[in-house]
Amino acid sequence: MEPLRQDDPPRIGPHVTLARLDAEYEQAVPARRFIARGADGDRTFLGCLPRANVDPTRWAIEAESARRLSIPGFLPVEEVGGTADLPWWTAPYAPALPLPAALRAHGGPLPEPFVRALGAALARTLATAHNLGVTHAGLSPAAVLLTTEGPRLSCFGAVRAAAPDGEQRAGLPGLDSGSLAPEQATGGRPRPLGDVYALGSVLAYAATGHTVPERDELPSSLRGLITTCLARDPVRRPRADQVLTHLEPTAPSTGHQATVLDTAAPIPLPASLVAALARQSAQVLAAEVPVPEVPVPEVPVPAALD
Amino acid sequence: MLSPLTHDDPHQLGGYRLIARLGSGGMGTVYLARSVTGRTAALKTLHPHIATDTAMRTRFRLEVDAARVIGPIHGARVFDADPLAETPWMATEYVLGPPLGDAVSFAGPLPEPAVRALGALLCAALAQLHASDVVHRDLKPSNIMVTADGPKVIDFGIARAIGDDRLTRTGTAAGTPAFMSPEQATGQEHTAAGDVFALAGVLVHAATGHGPFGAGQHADLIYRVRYASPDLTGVPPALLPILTQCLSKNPADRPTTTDLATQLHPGHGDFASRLPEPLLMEIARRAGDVWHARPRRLPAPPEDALAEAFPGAPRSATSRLSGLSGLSRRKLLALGGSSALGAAVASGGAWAWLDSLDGGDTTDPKPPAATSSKQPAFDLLWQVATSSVEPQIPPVPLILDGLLVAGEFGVQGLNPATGAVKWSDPEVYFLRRTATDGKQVYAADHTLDESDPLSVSTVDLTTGEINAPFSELKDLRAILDGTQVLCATGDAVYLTGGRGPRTESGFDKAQSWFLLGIGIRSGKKLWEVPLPARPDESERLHFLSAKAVGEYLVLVQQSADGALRLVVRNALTGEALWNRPLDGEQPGFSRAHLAVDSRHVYPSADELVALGLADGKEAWRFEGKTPQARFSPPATKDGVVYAVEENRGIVALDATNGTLRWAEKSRAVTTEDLGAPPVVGIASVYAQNKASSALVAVDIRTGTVTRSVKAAPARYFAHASARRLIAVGDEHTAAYPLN
Repeated sequence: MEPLRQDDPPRIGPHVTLARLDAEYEQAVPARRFIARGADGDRTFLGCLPRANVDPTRWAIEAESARRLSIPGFLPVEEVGGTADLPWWTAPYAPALPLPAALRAHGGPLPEPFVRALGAALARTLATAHNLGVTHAGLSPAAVLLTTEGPRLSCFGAVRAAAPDGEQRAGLPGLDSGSLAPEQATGGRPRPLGDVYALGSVLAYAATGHTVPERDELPSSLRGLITTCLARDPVRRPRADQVLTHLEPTAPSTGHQATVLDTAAPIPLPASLVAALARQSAQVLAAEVPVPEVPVPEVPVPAALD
Repeated sequence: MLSPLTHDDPHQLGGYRLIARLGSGGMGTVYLARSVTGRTAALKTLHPHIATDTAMRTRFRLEVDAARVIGPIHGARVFDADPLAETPWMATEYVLGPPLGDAVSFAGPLPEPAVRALGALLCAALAQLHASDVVHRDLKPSNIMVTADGPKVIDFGIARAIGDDRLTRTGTAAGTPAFMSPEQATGQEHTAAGDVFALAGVLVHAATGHGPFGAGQHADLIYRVRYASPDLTGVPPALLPILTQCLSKNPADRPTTTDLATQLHPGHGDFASRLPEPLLMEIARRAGDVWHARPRRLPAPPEDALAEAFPGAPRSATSRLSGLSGLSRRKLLALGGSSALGAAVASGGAWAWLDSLDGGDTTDPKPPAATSSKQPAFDLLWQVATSSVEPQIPPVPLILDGLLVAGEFGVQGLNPATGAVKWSDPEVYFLRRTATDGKQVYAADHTLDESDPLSVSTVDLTTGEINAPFSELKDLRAILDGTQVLCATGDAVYLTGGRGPRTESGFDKAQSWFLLGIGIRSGKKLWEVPLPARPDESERLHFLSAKAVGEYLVLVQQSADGALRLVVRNALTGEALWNRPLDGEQPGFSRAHLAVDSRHVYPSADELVALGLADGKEAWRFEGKTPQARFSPPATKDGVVYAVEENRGIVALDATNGTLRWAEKSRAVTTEDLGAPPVVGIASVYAQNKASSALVAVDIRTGTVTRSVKAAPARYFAHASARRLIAVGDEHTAAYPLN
């Protein structure tokens, strides 16, 4: 979470922006993401606008698709609005760290057990989506939001939004080249095994700090898995459910009857990330929007986001 | 973590819209609230009727001042406050972390590096206060919130300026005795060095899970604080010298906060990285859960009107025991920290406990197949600070129509439906000296006068005052510590009493002790049988529980070495009919649960058997699904016996012959879950599931799981007429709806 800059929008639809979610140098984010609050002060949102040079219409189509999906582990897009030129979407706010911010908060690559748990959670989400015939097509380190309730995938459809199938996508703004499967970079239609490639790059990033790691950099226990996920030829990559089985060989069978108490446990977070999430939560709780009666200044100054 | 607003909570205060309750106590309520600017805050309020008391209003203002002095790093940032409003309020940041006491109870004692960092940061917090000439006076684990960035001191109910004695007229000793300084315990000035003493106690608690002077009865604690060496068992050896020095009886021998911080040399690195994982997870959970809070308000409970119009209570403020000086009782109350002060510190602690009691998942958006959508919300309805820390007998609240008497000492009379405190400064002080037959509360008064005879009275149910005694036992001494009122029927009260030398606490081998029955109408002793002598300083009371059913008096008797026996006597004559040992792997308190009906007693000893009341012979035995399956203590109601079976869940048996009526669909049941009996409600039976911090509820007719709720480990009781599931924790009593 970062303070607002001069050129940031004061509002997203009816909501007042409070802070940025991403630091400026996260070039690979396909959208401009903000923390925003409803004008009545009651609700807080994660708000998103397309970045410059991304076709707003294609972007809005993916946002609308995301809004219609209900896949556990996907960030739930609640509202899509705006105009054809300037669309936006919002999701209910919860404290969230994009994976690059998490590495910054931790001061470097994340511990191997956490990367495994993260990989298992993401693989479970992707396996569910693929099972339903949905390809995420936007997975990258910045698309992974770590929350206190587990990772949430945002940036749905970023690859499809960047350019239509059949056009080269390599090097387009908003796409993380390290997470873009080779067949998608050359214009192929995003398919599930492209998500697996991106998953491999995300885990590599979490474990080393970059999406295209040297083989030796990877923790030995994850080296084989990440390398096969990053195979150039999609048919050589594992399916998401196979990644899940690999990372969580003792995944519980569903033999016993689920109860309220069995809701999936959030994955244990390293201390540095708990601290960063709690700090963000406290800052946003304490943040104030201008009182409604007072005219909104052209460039609102975020209050108390130190 | 949050409970809904009640029907009579205001909609807004000081420009803040109220969202949920965080806790409430005798002094006021703490709300989660939101300003028009969308800022979310904890809004602490003082009840308007208490705010009419100038001293209380002044105390509230001093608390606001102290919270501002300690600042946003070491305390909760103060956004705004209005101590002059009709309902005085203070808005602070909503602190994301559990109170230290809760943190230690669910994550275990903290590792040494965490204790060192905690101590150094608390030294800085105290230094901040002391630099402004404010002493805290009530530092304790429930007043310290553990956040990812360090501890925050949140409750200043009795903080005051050094040398300012405006607020001391109500009592000489204030604060929590377990962490009180010796000078505070003797009513002397508690200075900055007193806060250092309390801080050391807090660190001992953090490192070991127990305070340096244990817990238990007020007077005992005060005695130990003053005279006993601290119990530092389990403290990391490297911390022993400095903590011992902090716990010096002489304030001048203690280090300053600066010295202490230096000696703790916490080193560098994040505070969070020293915390155990379960605690980190809890902090993370709180940081996320608060964003799910939506304004909710409970409708007015229909039974509220009934409970308020509580009938038939005797009024007898004038009928005090003539030979008993009110002053001496006052003195004892003041010494023990009067309940007004208990209430003053309640809000912070209550706020804290609420979070841990309710896991916050009660509004799971995806109810599983087993739960149907028509079920009512299962929410914490109220909670009140009471004290049952390290009780000497299992804390069992007294349950009457429209009244709940709770707390091991400084007992309070509560409206069971709403949690409203009917009386909190009672003359009845120790729960173990009270019993109820469901209509009256009987109490053996205690006094500080050496010579007073043991007397038994009824209690004014509206005021908590003790009526004129209906029985005086001139050969027994009221003051002796081991006195217990065990149980009562409409006809008789059963109690223990002794004579011989007085001790500060515990027994003396020169004392003689008796079990006796007293006729309520006649006030005369029905019978009396001698009890075994206790060694000097033994603290074990003679009985852990007792029930009188028809002509039988069923007792769980404790020997001086802690062995338990189930003893059945003739209630009319005292004659011993039979007895047998109560063995089992569960702790004594778990074995002390008594399930009795008109024919059988169902002992709590890992097995599930029915013993004939008349002869102790086994009437039936339930073997369970697997060989040697163990059982929780049983409960019985309306001809059915309920227990939790290991690796199975709740089972319901016919009380006459032990045949299985139903069994819960199998679930994991750990040894811990076998420590308490199921709670039998009206349409449901409840059992604890500690692994998931939950209460499982099943349909009383079929055993089908109906609804579960996350809940901290507590002792649960059914208040059927108020339809409340009462949870008794170490420091609080709370209620859920009972179905």
